[in-house]
Amino acid sequence: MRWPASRAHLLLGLVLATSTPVWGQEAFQVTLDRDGETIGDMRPVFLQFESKSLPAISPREVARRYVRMFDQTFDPTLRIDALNRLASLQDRAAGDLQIDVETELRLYREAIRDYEQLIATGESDYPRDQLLYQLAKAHALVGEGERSIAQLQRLVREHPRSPLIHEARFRIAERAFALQDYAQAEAGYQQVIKADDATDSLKTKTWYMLGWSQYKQEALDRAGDSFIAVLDQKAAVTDRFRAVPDGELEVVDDTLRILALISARTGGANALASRLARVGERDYEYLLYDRLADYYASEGRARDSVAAAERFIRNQPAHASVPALRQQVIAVWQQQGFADQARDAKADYIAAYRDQGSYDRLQENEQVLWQRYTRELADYHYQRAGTATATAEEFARSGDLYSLLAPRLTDSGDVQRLAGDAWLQAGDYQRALDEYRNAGYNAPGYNEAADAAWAAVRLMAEGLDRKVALAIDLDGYVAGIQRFHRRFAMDPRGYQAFVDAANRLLTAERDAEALTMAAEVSADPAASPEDRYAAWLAQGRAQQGLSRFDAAERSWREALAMTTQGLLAVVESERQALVEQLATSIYRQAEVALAADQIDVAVAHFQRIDSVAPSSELAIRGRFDAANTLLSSERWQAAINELVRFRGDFPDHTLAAQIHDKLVYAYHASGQPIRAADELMAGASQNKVSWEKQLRAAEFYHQGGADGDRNRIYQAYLATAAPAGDEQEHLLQQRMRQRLITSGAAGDALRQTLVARELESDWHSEASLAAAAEAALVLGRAAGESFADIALVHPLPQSLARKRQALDRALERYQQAVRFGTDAAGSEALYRQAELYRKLAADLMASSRPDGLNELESMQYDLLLEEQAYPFEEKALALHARNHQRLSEGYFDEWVAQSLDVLSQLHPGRYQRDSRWMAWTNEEGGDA
Amino acid sequence: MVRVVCSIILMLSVTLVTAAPSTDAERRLALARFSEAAGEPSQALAWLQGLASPTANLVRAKALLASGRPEHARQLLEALTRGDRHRGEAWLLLAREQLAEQGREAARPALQNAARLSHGATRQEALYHLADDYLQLGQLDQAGRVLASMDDGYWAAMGYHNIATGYSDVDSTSARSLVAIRVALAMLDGDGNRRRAEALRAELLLKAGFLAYQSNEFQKATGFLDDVPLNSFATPRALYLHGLATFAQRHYRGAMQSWHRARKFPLAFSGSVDAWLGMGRSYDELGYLAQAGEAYLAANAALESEQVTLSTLADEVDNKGAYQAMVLAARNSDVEWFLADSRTLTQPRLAYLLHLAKQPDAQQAIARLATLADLAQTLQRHEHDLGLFIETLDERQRTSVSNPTAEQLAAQATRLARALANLQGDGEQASRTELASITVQLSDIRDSLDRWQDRTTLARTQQSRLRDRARTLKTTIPGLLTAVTELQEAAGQELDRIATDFIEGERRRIRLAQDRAEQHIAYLYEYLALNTLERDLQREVAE
Repeated sequence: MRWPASRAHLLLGLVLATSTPVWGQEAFQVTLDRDGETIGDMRPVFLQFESKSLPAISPREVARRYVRMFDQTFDPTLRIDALNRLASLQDRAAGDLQIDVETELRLYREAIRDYEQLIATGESDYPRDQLLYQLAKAHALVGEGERSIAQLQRLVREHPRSPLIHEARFRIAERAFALQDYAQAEAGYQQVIKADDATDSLKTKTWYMLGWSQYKQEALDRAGDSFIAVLDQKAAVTDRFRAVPDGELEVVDDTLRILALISARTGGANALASRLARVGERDYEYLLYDRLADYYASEGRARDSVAAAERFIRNQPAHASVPALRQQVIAVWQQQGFADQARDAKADYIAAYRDQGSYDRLQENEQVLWQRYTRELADYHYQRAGTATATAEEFARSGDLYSLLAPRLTDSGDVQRLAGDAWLQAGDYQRALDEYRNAGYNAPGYNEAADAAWAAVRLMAEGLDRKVALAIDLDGYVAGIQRFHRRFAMDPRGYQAFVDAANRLLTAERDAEALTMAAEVSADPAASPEDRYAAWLAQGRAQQGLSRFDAAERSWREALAMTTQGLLAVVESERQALVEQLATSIYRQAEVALAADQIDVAVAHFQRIDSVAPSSELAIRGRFDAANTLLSSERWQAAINELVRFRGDFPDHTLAAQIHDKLVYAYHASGQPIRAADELMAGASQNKVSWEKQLRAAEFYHQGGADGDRNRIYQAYLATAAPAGDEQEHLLQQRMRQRLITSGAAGDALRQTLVARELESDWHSEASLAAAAEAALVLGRAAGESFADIALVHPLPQSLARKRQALDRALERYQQAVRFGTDAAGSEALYRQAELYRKLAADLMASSRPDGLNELESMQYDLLLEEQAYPFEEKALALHARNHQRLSEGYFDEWVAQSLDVLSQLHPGRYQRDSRWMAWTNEEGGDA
Repeated sequence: MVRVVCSIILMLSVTLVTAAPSTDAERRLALARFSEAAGEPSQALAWLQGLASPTANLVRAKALLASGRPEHARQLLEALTRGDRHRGEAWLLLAREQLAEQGREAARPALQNAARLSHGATRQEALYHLADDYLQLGQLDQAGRVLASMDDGYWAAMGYHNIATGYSDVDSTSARSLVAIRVALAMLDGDGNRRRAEALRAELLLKAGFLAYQSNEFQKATGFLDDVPLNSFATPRALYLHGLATFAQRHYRGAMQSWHRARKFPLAFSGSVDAWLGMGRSYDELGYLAQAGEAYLAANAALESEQVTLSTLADEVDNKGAYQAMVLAARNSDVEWFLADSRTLTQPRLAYLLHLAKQPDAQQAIARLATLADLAQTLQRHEHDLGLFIETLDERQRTSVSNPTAEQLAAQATRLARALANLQGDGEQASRTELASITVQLSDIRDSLDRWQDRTTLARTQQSRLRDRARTLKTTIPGLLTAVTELQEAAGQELDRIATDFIEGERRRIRLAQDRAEQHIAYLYEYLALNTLERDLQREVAE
């Protein structure tokens, strides 16, 4: 009955009116003017939210709480909830809750009362059928099986549509099974299976128990089909048995076991295959065959076990479980002591996953197994190769396996090395090389990588040397060495290899590369002295090959220094060779400098060879070449000094023979002809100097103004020389004669010879003609003076004849001068001839008169003299006029001028004229 | 103190007759009605002595009903129903009595007559009960028709409130119920009693919110609950329900706001208890599991503390009695509150008292004890007063033989008059006027004194009579006090039993809440443990 509010309110007012505002638990106050009047007006408060760390709670603690809650609460719903949670937790924690059996029993026993209370009152959130079920379960747990079954039967009876009915029926059937009433149990299980709405998990359990109930009745076929159904169910919830939860494991395992047992009892693998053919293929067949094989193996029936496994392998070779089955086959053979069969099985295993695709499809553990088998088999073949007849074949097999294995290992270095060794033994050098390289460079963490890489290097070297059939060229070899050194910079063998490569490159005339290689070693202080020495040698050679002689010199010096520093022992001959190389490099530098017109540098180089290789041939050569260089560069004095020094230092050297001529040349070129002549004549005291040299010397003397020395040679020569047989000789002799005459060493006699030779010869030169002409003129002047000295006295004919002879002699000379053709001589000759005639004429006129002539006679005599003189004057006049004519030929000299003077005296009307210069103006627009 | 309170309440809740009574009978009738309304039926019956009007009989009947003499009251009421005045009220009172004592069947005719013959608030109440009767018979339509004929006001609102409950019992949706609630809320607007209207309004909003929540109309639910005042009796439950509706809308933080406020209320309010647990749930839903655990532990601690409070309360009830431990203790004044030993005891005590008082038998027991205590106080006071009165009268008798005082005063007045007369000749006009006034006053005093002397003679006679009567009355008081004490003990024991059962029920309720808190903590721990298991399993698998 609902009490009217008036009374309640009255009482409410009774007490409320006496009190202050309602107080809550903790200073609760409703201050209306601050907080709003209604819930909607409530001002929100700040609530803190923090993510805090959560304690690690053990399931035992939770269980303890639930037990405590169960014990302490009076509410049956809460108690049952605690119990259910506890049961669930027990399942999840795999029973590790430290709840003893007694406690558990007590809980369930007490819970029975709660269940009954809730069932009776209906005051529960749980549905009644669920309560009945849980009650049944509780009875079962406390050992009250009959009561449990009774409750389950009550559930089935009273709640035919309950979702728990199937579970209940299952439990009833379970009870029958426990009581060994298998037929009853089977019937019960069948009821559950036939239910459409039974859960899959329940059906699976039911199938399982159905199978067992059938098995117990020896109905193996039916049982097998039931167990297949169990596996079908389990497959659906375990991702096709890839992820079997712990809770399912036992059932699955047991089902497989019993199926194996059934198969074994009904015919083995064939029976299993027949069953599967009948019920249809299953994707978990491998498990069945696997378990059958396990069973046989546990029974010691290796062949049957293998047959079972291989049956499946044959059926489905690409199945993911095949590797495991193969492994099982191997294990079975091994366990049973069949080593060969086990090995063959391993080989099959290896071969089955040889290609990368199929290998990649293997699981990680299968790959590990494959790797192990491969290694084992490879080792087996390798060891066997030492004793087998077909050694190469065994090594090849071993190598093949190692090579196959290596890329599939993380630490493959060792295997790759072994592969290399195996291939090497098998004669497949390329593969050996590849594997050595792999071991050396592609196997991180491999401790002997350097050795493997070095093996590759050695193999390449042998290949290069054609000791093994390996296609390798020098580039490849060099690349290989460089690679070795890059990777194993601290390995001393790298230096050796570099030197070797350098030398090979040098041999191949690849000097630049050889230089690079050698430089790597020589510059590295870590290299051994021997390696560095060899590197310097190679560098020297390379530098020389590259014509970098300065660098070559440094290299040689370095190498040489190493020999002197005691870093290594070198035979003397080798050291000498080094010295030679050094000297050569300097020599070459001199040549280079010389080619570059760096004379001083070249000379310096040439000269310093001696400091490196004293008195060596090259040093001597160098000095000689230094002199030559100076000579060729026209540094005469320096060259002369050098030559003289050279001759002084090496008088017996073959090159010394060349010094004489070079000195002569140098002297001459340097404007020291006398020294040149002296040089030429230097051997005259001991060795007869050839006329050629003497004449050269005479020439030099002549050039130097040492006329005396010259004249001596000339005179000696002329005294012995035969008449010239050729032009050169003629001219030479004429020149000599001329010079003798000019220098006053010879008189008219030589002149006459000069003129006569010139007249006689068919060879002339301007010089010879000029000399002859000059000589003729001198002779003519002498004759003229003799003519002039002859006075015309009585007897005039005699004196005249004598005069006439002198005249002829003079005229002859003058005509000879004219004949020699020089302009100057010709004009003088003409003049003098003309003057001779005028003199004659004058002398005639001035000749003494015979005594006793009267005037008339005298006049007559004068007329006769004039008639006699007049032709001479005419001739003089003509000769002068001929000289004058030379003007029109464009020639004028003093003799022409004198001739003109005489003509102006002799014919003033014609020849005595004032000359007048005419100006020349350059007019534009001329006729041209 | 109680009387003062009652008077205040009466001023607030009872419509008093504003016109001043003109006769003694009317005055006494008015006082009787006041006393009856104030819960003092004995006083009312005292005032009604000698009055026999229908109204007086009605009041008398009410007082007799309130004082536990229903047979006498029934006779009066039946007589009134045969009369021509107050028939409706009489039928209603009869109906109430029959409802309480005999059941609905017996009360139905009286109700129908009351509805037919009464008017105003009486009729509304009668119609309410009639509608409620139909509701109890499952005749919702009939009840609805009755309600439709009611005027706006409290009773109509209550009727619609009840029919809403009826609809919710039979309907699959809350549509009709909510409509009925809305009508009830509308009806409340016409009620003149603001406080009861607000209290009922809060309950209506709470119910509407609950119905909407049950129908998964959470937004509608919060819409209703938002209007619930923050200071009503329904507020804790409304806050909890508001939180639930907000929670259902996945506004967990919003729900926590409501529940956080609800927690402020004493745990005596069921909404407060649930709110403590709700906080944990919200933290849980938001993913702050550590704080969820802390919230549950805090709830547990609060509940444990409440158990201690209840235990203490139970002990005090055992030791001091429920009335002292719960009712009187809740009445502490402000000053006493500050001086109280334990504040928490007083505050939850009040809340528990409120809840206890919701039970009708508890109300009756408390009222009875309050009345008896009041009676005892009254009797004691009367005894004391009577003693004083008797002493005073005796004293007066002794002193009234000669009373020189009056004569002295009269003589003094005469002397003062003469003195004033002398003074009146002198002084200014204003002073003379004042003196004349004083002279007149003195003359009046002198006359009064003369009359007083006459009256004292009469008074002495009366006093002698009164003294005798007082002595007689005083001798009856101890016996009455003894009777009152016995009745107090009986009522106290009844209240103790009720309170003890109530406290026990509360302890069970709190215990259950603790168990639920513990359950939630266990759930949380289970979750953490399973997570740890899962993590370990995954680590094992990874290894």
